[in-house]
Amino acid sequence: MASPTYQALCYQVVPVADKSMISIWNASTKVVRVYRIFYWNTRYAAITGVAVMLQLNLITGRAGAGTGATVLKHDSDDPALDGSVYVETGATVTSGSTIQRFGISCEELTAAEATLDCFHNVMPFGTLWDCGYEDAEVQPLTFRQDEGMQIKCETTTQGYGDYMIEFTQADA
Amino acid sequence: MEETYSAWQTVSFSANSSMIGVFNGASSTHLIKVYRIFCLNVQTAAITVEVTGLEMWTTTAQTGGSSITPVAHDSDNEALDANVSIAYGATVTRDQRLRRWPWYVDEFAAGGVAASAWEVIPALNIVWDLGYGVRYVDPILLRPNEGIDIWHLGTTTVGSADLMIQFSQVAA
Repeated sequence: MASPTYQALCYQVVPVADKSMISIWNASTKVVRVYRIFYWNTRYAAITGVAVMLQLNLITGRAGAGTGATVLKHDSDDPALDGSVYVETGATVTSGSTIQRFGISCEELTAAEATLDCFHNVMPFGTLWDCGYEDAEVQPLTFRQDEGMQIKCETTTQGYGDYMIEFTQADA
Repeated sequence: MEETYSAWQTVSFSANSSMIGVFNGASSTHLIKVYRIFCLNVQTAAITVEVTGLEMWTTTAQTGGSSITPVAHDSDNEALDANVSIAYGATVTRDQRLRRWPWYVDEFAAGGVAASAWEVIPALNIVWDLGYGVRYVDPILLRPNEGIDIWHLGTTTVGSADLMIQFSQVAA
């Protein structure tokens, strides 16, 4: 069986230029492995949507706290997430190397359309990262003490979306 | 589990050119296993749409170009073999064509329904994942003096795309 697994959800996150939309920072002595990252468009109220770019970055520091994510254990018998593992939105972090970028739309969802904003409401299409998931030979993104990652917004815009990180916590 | 790396780059389209390539040099003491390649539309500024083509090739030589530094999925991984070159815009000797697919060079719009909008969804734009998650299928294995390349076969010189190659390095 896998190590204790958690999912952390930040919902209705408003994009702002250079904002850390969701981040995970491991200040503990545990090892955190990120398996999947999702973005879903959850905006219903009408807005004028624009195209938005996101980045998946490593982060090399966390200078200030953001708003904590809702963290769910996949098994209630699992230990609580280490108090020094921070999953947040809007944290003040130092960006490191970029791993990949993603385009999204911040337009509202409508019932009778099949536009880009609707694509991102289909669960599998919202998968931003799943490397190491379902392949035992490929490493997931692995974060040791004082390491982490974020999804960062490149451009100022409007609307909001939900972000989720699925990860494990294990002894070093 | 194999030590895994991701190499990402935004690449402007240029006529008949290498978009991204990995080459395992003759003196390498490692094997490179290519697990997944992504090609994503990241064009947000308005351009005139063009249809072009991309191909995946094996290569027998790769020189020059602009170097790409991959991100290790775990900071404990050993350094990438110095004889492994990852670059875009390199001069390559193509050997065998593995596949070909069309690419729509156009900005993606927030309310887009065109191919350029579908091209932003990561799950739909994994252009190579043979061997990923299936133990009976080998990933592409690069022995010394072997490489792979994503080749732009058209004459388009506008727009850009993000290419990402995910691979592991194991001792030969």
